[in-house]
Amino acid sequence: MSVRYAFAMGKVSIEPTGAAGEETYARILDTTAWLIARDGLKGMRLSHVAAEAGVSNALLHYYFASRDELISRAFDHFYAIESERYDDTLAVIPHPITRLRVELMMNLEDSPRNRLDYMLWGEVARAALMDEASRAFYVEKMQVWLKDLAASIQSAKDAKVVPAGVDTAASALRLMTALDSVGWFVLAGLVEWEDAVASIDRALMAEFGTLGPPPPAGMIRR
Amino acid sequence: MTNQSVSQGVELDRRSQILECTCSVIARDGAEGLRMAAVAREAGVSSALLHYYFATREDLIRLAFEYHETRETDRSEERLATIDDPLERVRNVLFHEISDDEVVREGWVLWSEMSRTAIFRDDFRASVADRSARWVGLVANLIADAQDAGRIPSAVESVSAALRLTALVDGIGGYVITGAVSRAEARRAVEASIIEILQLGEAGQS
Repeated sequence: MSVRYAFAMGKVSIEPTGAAGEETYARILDTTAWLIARDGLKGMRLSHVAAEAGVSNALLHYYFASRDELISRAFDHFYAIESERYDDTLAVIPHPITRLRVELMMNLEDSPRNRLDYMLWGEVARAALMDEASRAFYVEKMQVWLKDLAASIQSAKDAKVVPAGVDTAASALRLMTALDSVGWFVLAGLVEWEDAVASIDRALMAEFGTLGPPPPAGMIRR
Repeated sequence: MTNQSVSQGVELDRRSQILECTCSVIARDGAEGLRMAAVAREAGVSSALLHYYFATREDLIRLAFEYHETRETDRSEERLATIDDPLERVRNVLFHEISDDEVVREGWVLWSEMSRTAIFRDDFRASVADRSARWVGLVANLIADAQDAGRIPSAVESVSAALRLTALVDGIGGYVITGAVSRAEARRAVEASIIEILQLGEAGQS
């Protein structure tokens, strides 16, 4: 079981054409993500995807050259929407540290979408732990996020709202870790949401000595 | 030794051997697809005997996790007993979590499999919560010992410092094992946090 692109194996997949095709295509990808979260990467069955998405097995095989490709496209689809959702929300916050703070807190919201995010990411991390072939996908995504975090911190340094001596890469790594662990605890019901928010705030204070001005009301929510 | 305690000793060994074997099977294949029959085969016992010791698959997984944790606690106590400086003992348990050690990887897989299942199962959750509390407690005690010896300022709140430091090394440990972050980078991030959280910056504390 691995998460990787089918073109690496010399196969070609078909892109959908027309609005109806795109809608079906997106529905297949959403269904796949949901079933991976429910049944695990290993347990996810193509026949279940077809049944839940209301398409034939033949159409599934028409669009996706392999199971691995369906999986990697489903992840890309999910995270493309997530990243747009985050960018949209965060664009209205001018202060770099407030923006970073809201971004971290958005990950703690107890929404179906976030639960799905954690379950999916858990599966990717798990595959990376168990199986060398799946590592590249995990490492690539992790490094994108670490770079994003580091870029946010760098922009705060450029705006001189955090001390110049802040170690950007090490700070990004620590914040990522803090979020990863506390996020799981909240989802598993081991930690209350308020305590999780407080622990992220503590981590931000430890890194930068500031939380920035408060964000617009309702932006940090359960 | 009476005959009864001899047989209890054999049972204990057999149980340990099965649990040891279960740990390595989980580390290799994950807990999700774990089959009792495969464990029986690898441990060289019959399925019937395996079921005599462990009623269900879930019991076996949970007890293997607890076995691993107990064994690792014993090992770290032995390791710590050889270190004189109480501050060095704190650093040793923390850096051990990001060391290049097959047993650390095995522990990581077990933890991740248990935490994952704990979202759905109360008995697993209780077990994970209990072991987390013990792990944080161990680090908190080591910090308190180092404070008694004057190696860490008394202003540091040992439990909350232990919580932050364990969360950090446990998380980064996973990144290191999967190769997402280099060990050197992880050490640098942890090192700076130890200095900050344990307030070692001032007065020439190492």
